[in-house]
Amino acid sequence: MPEREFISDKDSEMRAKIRSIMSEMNTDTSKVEDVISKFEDKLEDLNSRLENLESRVSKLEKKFDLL
Amino acid sequence: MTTTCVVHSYRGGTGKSTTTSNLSVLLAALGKRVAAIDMDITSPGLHVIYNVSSQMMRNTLNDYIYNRCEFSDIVMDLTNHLKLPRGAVYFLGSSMKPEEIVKVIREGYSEKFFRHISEKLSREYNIDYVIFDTHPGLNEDTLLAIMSSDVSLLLMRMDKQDVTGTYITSQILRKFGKLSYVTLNMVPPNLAESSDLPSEVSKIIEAPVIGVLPFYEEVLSHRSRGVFCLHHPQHPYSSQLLRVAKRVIELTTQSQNSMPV
Ligand SMILES: Nc1ncnc2c1ncn2[C@@H]1O[C@H](COP(=O)(O)OP(=O)(O)OP(=O)(O)O)[C@@H](O)[C@H]1O
Ligand SMILES: [Mg+2]
Repeated sequence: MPEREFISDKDSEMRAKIRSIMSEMNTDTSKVEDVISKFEDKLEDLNSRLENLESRVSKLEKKFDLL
Repeated sequence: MTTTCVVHSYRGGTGKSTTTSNLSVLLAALGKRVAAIDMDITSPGLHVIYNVSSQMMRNTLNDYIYNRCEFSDIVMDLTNHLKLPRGAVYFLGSSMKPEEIVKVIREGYSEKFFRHISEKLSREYNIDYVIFDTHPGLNEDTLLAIMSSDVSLLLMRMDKQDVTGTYITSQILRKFGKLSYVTLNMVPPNLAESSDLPSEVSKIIEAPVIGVLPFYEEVLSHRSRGVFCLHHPQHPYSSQLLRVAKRVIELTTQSQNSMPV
């Protein structure tokens, strides 16, 4: 039985294109480092803002309890 | 019009198969006809989540590639099996047999494979959304799936390794001229409450974040025994992912409308 036309074609045009694009990425590693450090900073910032908010809410709750 | 979508992540275990299966039933709940395809040929597992037994899955994509069966033999209609009241979900599985896995890895398939499958699903099954669940990382087979699809949904956790990988992946997809949207998964619940999170992460990784799914103990302890949303439709995981499903519909309808004729 003949195999379907779309198989066994590991050297297809698109595979070649993928390989060439990947090989020519010229990844800027310092840019990647920069992305990571920005991400870390942002998470810390968001976390501390959330903690701040939580402590303010709990202070408010205490105040209401006193009333 | 059929939209093909790849669910991918740079790293493993980010929730691709969980998202694919849940997204498929949510799109069906929105009235769509969906086909989910297990393209994680080296470690398939989507059938487990759909509760598809090996008896039900007599033929796989592997059989079709090697001309051992007809197309209709590999397309499983799960609509009744999953008791879906609206829409439809079809499933195309991948073989778990090691001998089949090595064969397909060694011999491969070309991009025509994806187009062929999508066209058949569109023509013969009137499918609105074809979703490919993939193997993680930048391997050639996965990139081939991405290149042959309309959009990619990249999953990422709030982890340094995931951030690096997602950034690099989206840069590559941009070079390929492909649309990619990011969904943050397993986000620490307190962080998920921050309304700034999606826009801040988008800016940093230079890719649009379209959804935030917190980490839920209930999803993890569900242990892939069935599609979570069907068992817990009122759970916040289900409602959050429903928002992603609606967003996917919005975005793909928009891009279709703006496509040159
Ligand atoms: N939002 C979430 N909260 C808690 N647990 C989750 C969440 N999303 C996924 N999980 C759990 O994480 C585990 C891995 O999920 P899944 O198998 O979907 O990942 P995957 O990306 O397909 O993995 P692989 O890369 O191995 O194919 C599963 O046990 C799943 O239930
Ligand atoms: Mg998986």
